[in-house]
Parts: sequence; structure tokens; C-alpha cells
Amino acid sequence: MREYLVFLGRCFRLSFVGNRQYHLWMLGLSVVALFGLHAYAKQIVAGLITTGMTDQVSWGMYIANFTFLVGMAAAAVMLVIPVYIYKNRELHDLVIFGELLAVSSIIMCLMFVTADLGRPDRFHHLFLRFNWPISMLTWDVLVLNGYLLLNLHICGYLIYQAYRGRTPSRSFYIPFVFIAIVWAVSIHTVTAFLYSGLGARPFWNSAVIAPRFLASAFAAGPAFLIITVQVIRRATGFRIAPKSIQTLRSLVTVALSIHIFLLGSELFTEFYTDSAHGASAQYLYFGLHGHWALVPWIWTSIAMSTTALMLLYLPGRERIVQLNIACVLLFFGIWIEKGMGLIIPGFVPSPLGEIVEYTPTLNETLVCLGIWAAGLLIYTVLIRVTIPVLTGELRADDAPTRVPAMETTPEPAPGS
Amino acid sequence: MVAIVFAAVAVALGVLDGGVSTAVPELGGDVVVPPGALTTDSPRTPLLSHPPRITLGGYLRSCQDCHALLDPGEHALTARGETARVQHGDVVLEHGLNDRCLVCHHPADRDVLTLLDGTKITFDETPRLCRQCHGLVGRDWERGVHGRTHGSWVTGSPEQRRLECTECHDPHAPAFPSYAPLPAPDTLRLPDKEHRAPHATEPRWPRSAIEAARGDRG
Amino acid sequence: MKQTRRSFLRRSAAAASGLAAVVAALSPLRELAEGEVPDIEEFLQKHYKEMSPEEMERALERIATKVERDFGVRPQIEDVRAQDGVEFVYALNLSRCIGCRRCVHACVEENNQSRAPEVQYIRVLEMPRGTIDLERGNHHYDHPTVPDKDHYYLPVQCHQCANPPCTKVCPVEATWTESDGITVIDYDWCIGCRYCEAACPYWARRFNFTKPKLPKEDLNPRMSYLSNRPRPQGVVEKCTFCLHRTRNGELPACLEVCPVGARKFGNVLDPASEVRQILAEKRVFVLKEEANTLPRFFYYFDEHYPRGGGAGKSAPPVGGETGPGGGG
Repeated sequence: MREYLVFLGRCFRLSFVGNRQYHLWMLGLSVVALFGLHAYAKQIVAGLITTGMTDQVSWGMYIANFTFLVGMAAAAVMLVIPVYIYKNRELHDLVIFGELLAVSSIIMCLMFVTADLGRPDRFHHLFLRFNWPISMLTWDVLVLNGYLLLNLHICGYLIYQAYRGRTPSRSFYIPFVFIAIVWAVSIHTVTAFLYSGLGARPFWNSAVIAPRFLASAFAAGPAFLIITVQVIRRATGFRIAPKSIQTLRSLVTVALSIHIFLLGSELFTEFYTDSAHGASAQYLYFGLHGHWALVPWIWTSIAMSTTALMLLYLPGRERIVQLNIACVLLFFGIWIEKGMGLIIPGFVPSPLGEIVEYTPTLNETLVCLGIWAAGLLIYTVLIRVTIPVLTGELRADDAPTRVPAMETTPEPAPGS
Repeated sequence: MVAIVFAAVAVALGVLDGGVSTAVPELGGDVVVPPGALTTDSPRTPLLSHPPRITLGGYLRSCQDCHALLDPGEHALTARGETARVQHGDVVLEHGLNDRCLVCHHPADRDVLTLLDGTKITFDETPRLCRQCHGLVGRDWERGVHGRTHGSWVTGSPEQRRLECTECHDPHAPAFPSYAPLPAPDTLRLPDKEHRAPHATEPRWPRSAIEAARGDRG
Repeated sequence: MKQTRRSFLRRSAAAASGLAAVVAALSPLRELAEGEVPDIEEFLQKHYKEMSPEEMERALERIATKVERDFGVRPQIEDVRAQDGVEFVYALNLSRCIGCRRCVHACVEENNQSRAPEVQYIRVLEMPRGTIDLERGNHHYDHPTVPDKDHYYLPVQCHQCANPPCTKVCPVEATWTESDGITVIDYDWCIGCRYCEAACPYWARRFNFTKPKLPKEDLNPRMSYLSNRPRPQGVVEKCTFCLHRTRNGELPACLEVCPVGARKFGNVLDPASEVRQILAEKRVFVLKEEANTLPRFFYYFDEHYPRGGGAGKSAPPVGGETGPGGGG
């Protein structure tokens, strides 16, 4: 136990150590997070009136970001399946980064949900009267927190064992890994069911919501990781095998293809049928009764996603520049589509046919940026601590040897 | 450098920022409801008494005090809307097909009303009179389905009060007057006034002869 | 040694200014008024269904004290329970409603709703002829007089459904259906997640985005725990069929004020009640029946088009159909 506290203390101190780029990055994120905290403090006092939400559009940017980030967290499983089930060695390096991404994403999800609550001071009511299994929100609470604990355990155990120079015991993490695979699918499915179970919102009341969620998550998550591992490689010199990035690319391509197919399927159903059921889709894609605020956003998103898909199929897709462009495009395209393209149109028109549009306020945007900054801060710190452990640099004093923790990891990098 | 940046942020957030009020939008003023609009009284002044009495020349008179002296025949054929009357000129008769005063008022005794077969009824038995023609409405009224109920939903409760026909309907011009509507909703972040209502000229689906015939004006 | 002292000082300065920045970030919290931070008793207050009578007394006392402090009036607040053998049903006669919106504002006065931002439980839709497509309804009509002869009027409020989607989705069971059919909310239990607001097909629920603004002189001091006591910031509220009145045998405020008698209310379990007669004999329908919410709010007609001016003066529609409601 004491050793563990020492380890945590060393991690804490290590998170402040780094080169100039590192300090600038952390400082910038901290400043943004502080502004976000300040904006949230204002919201605590004045209430959710500081956001752009109304009785007509009663969920906005907070829940939009929450939905997107649940998908990101679930995408970590895209790495775990090939490595642990198909014994794909190339992705082995990246599993830990994926799991750390899952941890950071879930923490961001919890922050976004808390930011969205009207009475966060009554959080404890969830423990006292829990409407499980009827309310899908209770399922969401269970699976999100369970997933966080799972990933914290898996990462924490593996990293701590490496720090102590010990071989991890398979029974302490392999079963959890397999549970996490199933659990990752469940977190995003449950989140999708939150929406698709509501008969009051025809735009959401579709069976295709859950598959679309998973497909878009499994495209956006690995895309984010493709960019992230290149940043890690550049910043720390930690060697990532190019083959692992190419494997990720294949996963992204398949997921994005399915996602676009499902999008096409939804568009056909809404517009070919041409019934009142499609009013929200009409609002989103073409505007409704003169209200068209979301139209530029959704078409930009579709352009981004389809361009990304083309880039992922066209020759030259293995080139890192083309791949990076595709990843950035599809990441933002999917972010727009999950947020503005899913949450907001579900509320327009209202169940009584009223059209009230939604624009996030400055305060709301600052809170969102602050939470993203906090999440990136957490992710950066986690990686900052993990890499020295993996390369063997960060070791307990009583560790037997100074060998790298993971079999396929190359030599320690200079200057990290 | 780190210290300077954080100090600058601290100053910006603590001092320069205007506080919570900068994040709260204009909530709008209160909606104005005209005084007396939310009354639960009956919409028209009920008759003073059964039978009606009027003060003329310092004396309390009943209707027959005058009408006993008058020849009833001249008034029997007063058409709707025309006033061949010396008194009661303020009464405008707009009761649909019923354009004859003596359908309801007894020709020989103005202190009572009359049924179609000549039976005299008092002024507080008006529902019996109205139902002769308005039978279906009368049946509904009897069961509380038509008209206003006040006080209690408990069947047979002494608190329950049903308004009678003439408490809502002016018997001479029973159609309800128009009301001025109270203000429309003004919730948060509505579009500006021109864009609040759905665009009434744009039905969602193509117009057809059916809609035109239905009188659908969008 | 110099190196260490300098780096120590630098690090301390960074830490101190970082701490100052965090404190500055939290500085808006100093504007939290004392009444808005829950005290320990309120924090530990149990769910409505778990409170003992003594705990309820204390809660009512706490609420009454707060109202007296905020409004200068000691309210008369009770926890009125559902009666046995009663199931409330509401019926609204669309032939009679003239769209005057008096029900909307009577409800606002009776139920101590926020004036700014505006909270109104009842929303009246002006519907064009020949359609029940709610998207075609106009919520913001503003004619000099109503009714407008080319429209009919459809007031919508919480339907107190028998199969409510809102109670299904609440994660903390802050909203539930009582034995007399009314869906209620424990305002001291709601965490403000607004899932119920998203789930309601009739847009019946309202959220307090900020502290409700209620002028002192407009307070209705006759309150109950589950209905019209002033609600706090950050919780959901809705029509409760005026249970502080109806559970004592009275009629809801919206019905009392309706000048044309379009609203009918009563106990559907009583065969002699008005609502029972309506359900048995009038052509009733409910909104969004396909949602299977089983509302306890019915709409009915008893008259032909057109309306306004003398009775029965216009020709019947093309095809000779008698229009909805056919007679009565």
C-alpha cells in the first residue's frame, strides 16, 4: 500500500516535468479549464439559464458532447478485440493508450452529465432511489461507472505491475479485458437506448440509432488515436510500429463505411416515406418553415465524413498525410453529427409542433471547452506517466530489473 | 512564466469578469393580464329577481303593472331586429329562427314565461323553456355535459353549482360575444415575433382539391 | 543551493498563483444567496414516499418558513393525499373552446408559476380547419377577438397519463403516478436531468432554468407539497390537476375560469359524474393515441362547423357530410 502511494506521488511529480512544448500544452489546457470552471460556477449560481437551452430544446451541447464521448470511450474496445481475441501483435502497443483514452473520455462524460444537471447537489439521490431497470438513465449510470472502474483497474494494474517490475498475473486482468470488450459495446448501446426508447421523439425512435452510434464511435475513436499516437511519437520518441497505425486505419475504414451506410438508410426512410415522422429530419437537412440554423452544419458534417471515406479508400490512403486529413475530417464530422445532428433535431419541432431553435451561449461553450481541456489534461498526464513506465524509466526502487514492461515495445526513447 | 499566466487568469476571472449577471439573459417582463379577466362569475348579469322588478318613479314595479294596461296584440308580430317598441328598445332579438317575443313571453301575463302549449312558467324555470327547442343541449346540460359547473366535482355536493341557461346566454341574443384573448406565451429564447407562428401558407404536403374543399386555409 | 532555492521559489509562485486562479475561477459562488444553499436537513430529506408524518410536518414547516421569508406571507401548506375510489379525468369540449387563454393565466396565478422566465403549464393551440396536425397549430395567435372563424382551439396540458413515459425514465423516481391518477413530482427530490421533459409526447413539463420569479403580491398562499408550493431552481414541474383543490373536492382553476364551460372534470369511477357521461356518449378522442400513453385528458366535439354569428347559418361542407360531432 505504501509503495502504491509512493508510486502515485512520483506520478504526480512527474506530471509537472517535461519540455517546453509540454509545459505550454499543459498551461494552455489549464487556462481553458479554469475559464470553464468559472463559467460553471456562474451556472451553479444562476442555473441553466446561462445556457441556450429552453423547455422546447431541453438538452444541448452538454448532452451532445456526452453522447460523443461515450462513443470515444467505447472505441477503446476496437483495439482490445484484435489484440486479445485475434492475437494481433501490432496493436499491442496501442491498447494501453486506447484504455487510457477510455478512462479520460468517461471522466469527461461524467463531467458533462454533472454540468447538465439542474441540481448537482442532489447527486446522492441516485444512490437512495434508483429506478433500475426501468429507466435507461440508471443503466447508463451503472455501465459508465462500471466501465470506468474496469479500465482503471486494467490500466492501473498493468502499469503498476510494470512499475514494480513484476509480470502481471493473467487472472487479474485477462477476464476484465474480456468483460471490458462486452461492456464497451454496452455503454454506447445503453446511451443509444436512452434516445431510441422515447416514443415522444420520432427522430430518435428508430432502431438504427444504436448501430449508428457504435459505427460512428468505432470510426471516431480510432481516428483520434491515430492522430494521438503520432503526437506521442513526436513528443516523446516512443516508437509506434507503422503497421499498428495501418491496422487502425482499416478499422476506421470499415466502421466509417458502415456508419455512412446507416446514415443513408436513415435518410431514405425519413425522406422517401415523407410523413410527419420526418419533420425533424427535414428541419436538420433542409430547414422547416423558414428555420434552418442547423442545415449548414449537417451538410458540412456529411461532406467531411464522405470526403474522409473517399480518402480512406483512394490510393495513397496509407500515406500518413492523407490518413491524417481523413481522420481529422471524420472526427469533426462525426462530432457535429452526434451533437447537432442528433440531439438538437430531436427537439425540433417540439411535440406540440413549435419550432424554437437552439444556439449555445458563451458561458455554455466555455464550460464545454473547459471540460474538454480537463479531459485532455487527464489524458496527457496519464500518458506522461505511462510511457516512462513502459520504457522502463519509471521504476520502483525495489524493481528487479530495468527491462521494458511490454514485450514488443522498442528501446527507451531519449529525452522523455 | 507559469506563475505569471496563472496570476493573469486569476485577475481576469476574479476582478475583470462582471459576475454571474453577465451570463444571465434578459428574462423579460411579466405578462400583463387585464384586471377582471380571470373572474369566475357568470358572464352576464343575471336577472335581478324572479319575476323581474323595476324601479319606476320611485316605486317598485312588476312587469304586469304596465302590461296589464296594454293591448298585447300589437307586440305579437315584432320581427327580429326591428324595434316597434316604446319601451325595451335596448332589447335586441337575435335568437336565430326565433324572432317573436311571445314565443317565450306570455301574451297575457308578462310576469311569467310561457311554454309552447301556453303553460305558464316562472322566470326561474327558464331551463324548461329553453329545452323545448334546444332539447339535445338541454339533455347535455342536465347531466353537466353542457354549460358551466363551479365549486365541486363531487356529484350531489352542496358546493356544486351549475349555472342556468340565462346565466351564460342572453336569452334575446344567446350567441356568446367574442372575447379578447389574453397574451400569447413568451418563453425563453423565442424567435422574433414574425417567426413564432408556423408559416400558415405552407402546408407540409401538396395541396389538393380535398384540402380546398375542406376550407383549409393553411 | 541557489539553483534549488530559485527553482523552489519558482515552483511555489506557480503553485500559489495556480491556487489563486482556481479561487478566482470559483469566485461567482460567492453570489449564492444563503437561501439557495440547502441546509443539512433539506440535504438529508427523504423521498416523499419514505417520509414519516413527522418528517413531512418538518418539511412543510421548512417550506412555510422559507415562503414567509421570501414573500412575507405565512402560507397554508398541507400534504393532501389521494382519496380512495377516485380517479380523475378531464374532458375538453373543442366545440366550445374559444381560445381566450383565461385557463392559462388562471393556472399561472393558482399554481405560483414563475413569471420570468415565463412558465405556463397550459398551451393553447389555434388549429386550422380540417387538420389535427399539431405542427400546423399556432401557439402565438394574437387576434383582437377570439374565436377566429377559420380555426378551432386546442388547449394542451399534462394529461396525467395512465401509461406515462415520463415516470418510466426518471432515474431517481422523483415523479410517479398516484392512486387517483395524477402524475406528481417531488420537487425536493428531482435532480433536474430533464429526461422526463424529453420523454413527454405532449410537451407538458417545464424546467426551472433559474430561480422562479414570483412577485410577492401574486403569491397564492394555499399550497400543497406536491403541487403549487413555490418550486426551487433546477427542478421540473407541470400541471397537477390542481390537486391541492381537487383532492379537497374542488375544481381546478382552469375549469373555474373558463367562461364558456368547455372544461369538464370529475371522478371517472362515479357513474353519475359529468366526465363519465361524456366518455360514454360523446365522440371523444385523445392526442397521439398511437403513443399508447392512455391519457386521462379527452377532447370532444358537440357541434358542427362553422361557428360564430348566428347558429346554423352556413351551408354544410362539400359532400354533404355533417362534420365532426354530428348534432348535439
